[in-house]
Formats: sequence, C-alpha cells, structure tokens
Amino acid sequence: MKSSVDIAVEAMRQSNPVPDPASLADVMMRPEVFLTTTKETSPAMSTTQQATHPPTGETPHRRRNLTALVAAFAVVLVVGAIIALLTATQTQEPATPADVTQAFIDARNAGDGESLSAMLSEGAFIYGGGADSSATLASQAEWFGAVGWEWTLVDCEEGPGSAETQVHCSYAHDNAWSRALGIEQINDGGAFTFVVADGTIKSFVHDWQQTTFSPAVWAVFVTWVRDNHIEQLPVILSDECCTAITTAEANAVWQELTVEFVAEVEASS
Amino acid sequence: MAGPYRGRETWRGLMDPNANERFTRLYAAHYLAVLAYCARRVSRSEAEDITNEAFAVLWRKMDQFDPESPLPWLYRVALGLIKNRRRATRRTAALVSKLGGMGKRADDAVDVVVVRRERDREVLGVLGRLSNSDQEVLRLSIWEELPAADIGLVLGCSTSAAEQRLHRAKKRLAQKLSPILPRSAPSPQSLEEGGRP
Repeated sequence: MKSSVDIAVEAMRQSNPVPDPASLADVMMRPEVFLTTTKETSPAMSTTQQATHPPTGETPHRRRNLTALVAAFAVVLVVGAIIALLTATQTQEPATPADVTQAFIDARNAGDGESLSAMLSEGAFIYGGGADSSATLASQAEWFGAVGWEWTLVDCEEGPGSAETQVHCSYAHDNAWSRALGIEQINDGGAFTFVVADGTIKSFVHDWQQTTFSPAVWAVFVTWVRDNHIEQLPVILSDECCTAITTAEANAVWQELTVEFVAEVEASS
Repeated sequence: MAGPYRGRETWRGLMDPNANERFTRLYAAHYLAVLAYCARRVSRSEAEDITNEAFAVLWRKMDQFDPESPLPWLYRVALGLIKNRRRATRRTAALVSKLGGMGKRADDAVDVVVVRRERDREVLGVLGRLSNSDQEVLRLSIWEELPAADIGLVLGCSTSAAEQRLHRAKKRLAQKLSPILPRSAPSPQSLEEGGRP
C-alpha cells in the first residue's frame, strides 16, 4: 500500500502542466539572436517587446486591422476578468487561521510590506523581533526581502476558540548571507504567535532567538561590512553592531551590500 | 558600432574565443528545459520572455560561467527573474488599487498555467496554498526531477538542507491533499480480482 506522501507526489507528478518540454519547441529562437548584440535586436529584448516593434513595411490597412483585432481582444479580456472576479468572490471559502498565517509568512518572505500590512486588523498588537507596530513590521519585511530572508514554519499548534484562534508556530530561517556561507536553515528555538480573527491578524508576537544565527551569520556579515564598507555602517545600523535601520534608503544599501557579500563569499569558496 | 556594450562583447571574444560555440551548445541543450521550468510557474508568454532573459544573462556572463552544472544555474537565474516580476506586479497592483482601479491579485498575472484535468486543477490549487518555498522545492523535485544536490544549487542551500526542505514540503503536501485523494490507488490487478476503487 502506498503511503499518503507517495500518493501526493504521484498526484503532483501527474498534474505537471508541461510534462514534455519538447512540446514547446515551436517558440525556440535561433541562438544567433543572442550572439549579435545590436541596438535593434538586444538579447534582453523580450518577445513581448519584439511583438510591439513589428518590422517596417506594413500597409496602413493591415495596421488598422491589427488595431481592431487588439481592441476586440482587450474587450474580451476585460469582460472575462470581470466574470472571473465575480465568480471568485461568490465561491471563495473563508480562509482558515493556518492559511492566514502562512499567507502572512509568504508576504514577509517576499518582502511585501504592503500585503503584510493589509493582513493586519486595525490596531493590531505587534511585539518582538524588532517591530512594535504595523508600520515597522512592513518596513522590516522590505528589509527581509532586501537581504533574502526566508522563514519556514516548522510546527504550528492552534489553540481552541471560534471567534479568535491563537496559532503558535516554531520556525527555521535563513537569508542570503547564511546561504552563501553554506549554513542550513537555523532553528534557534524562536517562535511566532498569532491571534487570527475574521481572516485577519489581531496580534503578532515574534520571539526571535538568535543564539546560533547571531555569531554564525549576523556577526560575519557585519564584520565584512566593517572591513570593506565602514562608511556604510551608520547608514544600515543604528548602534554599530546590532540594530538594523530599515528605511527604504537603508534597505537599498542593505541589498547592495548583500549582493556584494554573496558574490565575494561564493567566489572565494 | 561603438559603445561600452559592444566593447564588452569584443573583450569577451578576445578572452574566450569559444564563447559563441559554448553558448550555442548550452542554448540548444537547455533552452526547452528552462522554458518548461518557466511555463510550469508563470503564463506562457511570460515564460518565453523570462527564458530569453535568462539566456541573455548567460550570454553576458559567459566569460565567468562554470559549465559544470548549467541547468541548475539557469533555473536559479530564471527563478530570480520570476521573483522580480512577481514583486513588480504586486507593486503595480497595489498602485492600481490605491488609485481606485480594479485591483488584481498579483499572482494571478503570472501563475496562469494550462490545467488539463479537474483533478490536476485541485492538486495545483492545493499546491498553491503551500508556502512559496515549499512549492518551489516540490516543483524542482517532482516536475524538474532534480536531485537534492541540484535543488540546493537552485535554491542556494546545501544538499542536506534541500533534502530537509523537500521532506517537510512533501509531508505538508500530503496533509493538504489527503481530503481530496484516495488513500491508495487500486492496482489493475486488484480491480481484476474484484477490488473496488
């Protein structure tokens, strides 16, 4: 008898949208397109861009027909989108607390502060992990995105309750620095505790334990910045060692430094 | 033609006279695999764009490229391009929403894939509810059929970390799929013997 994991894997294998890559052969361009870099045919030019720059020599009549076709297609698309939207809103099931918390972590991993804020209820209680309000949580998420931070929920327990549900999750995490250093996802014993009500998050508490991560990853990166870009330290840290500045300007610097750090570590390993 | 970009091409040609040939070989060997990788994650037209961008990146980096494991490297580049597009789409959608337009979920724009059967639709729906990292590690293993070492190269983690992530993701997939899948698929033999699905 197959295990439930085997059955799930087989089901996913069968749902592969492109089981045979050869079926896509019709769109393959000639490699010479990339080998000659000219202004007219840049290798970075997308097929969409190429489609919007047709070769000259078309007749006005043909161009008019094309415009009418594109306009008709656009109308069909808009009508289709409205119908799809109406259908989706009618059949959408309410999100479970587990779905809400996972979506929250996904947005955090994607560095999407706006989506993160939209998931919080008004006046949500935010505490721990360097954030104390929905605004700081959002800017911190942008920072996580800038340095490739990824949080993986390991085990979640839901408490009782119908109106409000408490969800307590242990997690493992890594970022671009740790991955470059070849360090696996770290579980320092930290945890997230959510309170979910009506599909939104009323409370988010982050118990961020860093006993392993701090010396193995954080300190390595900060030392590298100190050695190579000491002038940037006050731009990214408010105390020269431990507290990240997560404004948009600082996040851009964090990202630049991260890219350079990763390239240097990978080149030396 | 003068200009820094052209100059860079000339410089590359001097440094590596075989770059063109190597690129052509890599392109012929891996273009369809990269296109399929993208088409499993984004819409067909976006997949073509991203694949072309990935090979443009490869061409620009031919002089420093280690061809030992080109496919995971190309997948990694494509994954980065897909993430960038998703982020840009999300920002655009948020802006449109702020301006009072009809907001569209960011992922809808890029996650349109051809679904052949109702069961596949359900399975893909469940897959879409897993975390992005779970989805990616599962796709790399089950659809791209990469071994853990190559999955690690794509995701930028060690082989054992990739194995752990895959193990956990499979368990979560099975948990989420269990309500819609039979506990065990009947074999043809058991049906012949009077077994019931």
